Amino acid sequence: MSHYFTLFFDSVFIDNIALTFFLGMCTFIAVSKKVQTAIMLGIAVTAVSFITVPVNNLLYFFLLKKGALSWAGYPDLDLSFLGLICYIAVIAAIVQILEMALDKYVPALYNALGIFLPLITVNCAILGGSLFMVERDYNFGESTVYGIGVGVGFALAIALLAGIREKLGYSDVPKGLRGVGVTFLIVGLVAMSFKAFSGLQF
Amino acid sequence: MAKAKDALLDPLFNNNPIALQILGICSALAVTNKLSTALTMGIAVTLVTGFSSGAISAIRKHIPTSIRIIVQMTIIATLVIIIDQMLKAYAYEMSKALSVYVGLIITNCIVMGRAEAFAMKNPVGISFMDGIGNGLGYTLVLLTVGFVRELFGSGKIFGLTVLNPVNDGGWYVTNGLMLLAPSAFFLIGFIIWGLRTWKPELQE
Amino acid sequence: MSNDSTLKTFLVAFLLCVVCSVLVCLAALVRIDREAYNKQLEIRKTVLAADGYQKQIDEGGDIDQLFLDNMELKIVNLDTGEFATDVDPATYDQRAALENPELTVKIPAEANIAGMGSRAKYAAIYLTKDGDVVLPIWGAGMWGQMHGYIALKEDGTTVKGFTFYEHAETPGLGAEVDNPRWKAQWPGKQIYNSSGKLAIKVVKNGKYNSSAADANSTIDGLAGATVTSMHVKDIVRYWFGEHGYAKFLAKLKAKRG
Repeated sequence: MSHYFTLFFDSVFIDNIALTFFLGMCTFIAVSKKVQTAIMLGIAVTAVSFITVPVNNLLYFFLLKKGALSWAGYPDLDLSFLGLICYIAVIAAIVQILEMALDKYVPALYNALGIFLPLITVNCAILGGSLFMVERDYNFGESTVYGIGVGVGFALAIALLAGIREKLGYSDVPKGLRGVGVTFLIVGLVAMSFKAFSGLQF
Repeated sequence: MAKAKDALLDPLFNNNPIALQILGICSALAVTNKLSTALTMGIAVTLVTGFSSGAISAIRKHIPTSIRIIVQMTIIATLVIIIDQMLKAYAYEMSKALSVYVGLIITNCIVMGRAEAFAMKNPVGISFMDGIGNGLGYTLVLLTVGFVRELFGSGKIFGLTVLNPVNDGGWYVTNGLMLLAPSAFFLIGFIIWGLRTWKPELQE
Repeated sequence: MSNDSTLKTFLVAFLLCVVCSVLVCLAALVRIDREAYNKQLEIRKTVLAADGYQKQIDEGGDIDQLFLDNMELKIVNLDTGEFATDVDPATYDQRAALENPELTVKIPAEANIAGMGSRAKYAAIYLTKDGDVVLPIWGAGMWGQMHGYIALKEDGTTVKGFTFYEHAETPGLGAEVDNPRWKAQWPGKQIYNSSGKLAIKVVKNGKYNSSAADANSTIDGLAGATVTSMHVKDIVRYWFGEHGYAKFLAKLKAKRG
């Protein structure tokens, strides 16, 4: 049990997908103007990550990795080179399904998220989560916890940045830096502060 | 011909994918600590964007709306996997350094972004040019950031020692920050600042 | 035929899948062909480098020839510490064995200091003509797995060299494990102390004291890369402990008298 807690804590703070691995940056910078929308996106990302990482884990274990197809009688087959295209297909499908499900059962959330839901398909943080899961060879339980952790970590980071950017509205930023320019500088500083977590060991 | 020239040159400064369209950031941070990886990534993205825009443009009149995004993703993913396999076969050392990030070209917003915004509505020739142009704009920023980071972070340019670092018995105390991703953020921020001061019409 | 008709949708999807699959598989075939050779060369270079042949490698020597002249591959059963007779050295792949449950052993939680979870039952090691042993060691690093070879002299405790051939550590920081000046610390260090206890350790950069009693078992860590240094320490200490090569090295020493 503590192993799962450590894994979760690691993926939210120490291995934060946005501020330590710098994945999902485009959406991260583009959608962090207001805290409200940032949190909505964070929830959506967490939902997608929570489903896709374990599903991709099953796909990898039972279909793609070397020896995975031994249950079908092909123990020597190594289909891991098809990994990228399979994970992306899964992510695109899950996002599409989530979109339809939200539209039918939680229309309020669906309307609030708007365009951000389909944009999650190309969010490298989601694909990155699956790729790291494969590289670190997590089992199903660990994949699920890691999936939630990736999402929560991303949500935390984007909400943090949005909070700072909202406050920045009161500052006198040079014309050339306004908007995106100063955001990059801020993200750099926030990323440095998150480095403090990297020394933590459990 | 003028249109082709615009498609190729606009993305270098006026509509730079990283600095102005805010696309392709993730890889810009991860692979710019060395110029060799920055250049390889730049070339890979340029090729993928060019050929995927070209291919998607070629079949744009036949793509059913219900599977539009997946068709684009499949074409992009196929091209990326081919490049990934070629790197592993012929540039083994390089592929180890680029590892996860080559796969992430699939989700590189520049490729998907140009496919949606341009290739779906324009003929093959100019779509290809637009793809290459955006790839070059991306490569330009990558090389700039990579140059500063490698020079001040390890005293080298393309692996050749320019400022002899202390670790190798020299005098230059390497700037550790330059080797970490936050420095790429700062550098891109300054590039944006410079670009928007040079061309005030691009300011927000 | 309308673009959105069901038939067209299936047709486009099907054709796209076929064309893309063929292209991807062709690319994979090319890669598989070259990869095996690339990986083997990499490992041979590392084994030779660990055993002190770096100069010959740098001078452009024929890696394959050097390797075949000097290295003898042997398979060791890590549970018993004996050479294994039931495994074919020519086809045994220690890293691939990790995916076969019959060839792996789970590492008990309290011994799992190198973060691997499980290890192969058999190890593919190299013996040299001078009696050196070159051992594969690996474990969790900061950003990914670290794989390398460490060469010990005939006495089974003095290090001859230590080289990583694969890791994902930060260039300029953790990746300085590849820096020849850091690697130069290893030759001559003692893995076990005079009473046979595991003594090798890596300390935080700057804390190395050359006049300390255990200085010959201490390595100064990497500057600015404390986490990677600690991982290296854990990897080395795991593999020379009870669940690694300790049994094998003890038996080898006994055999040699």
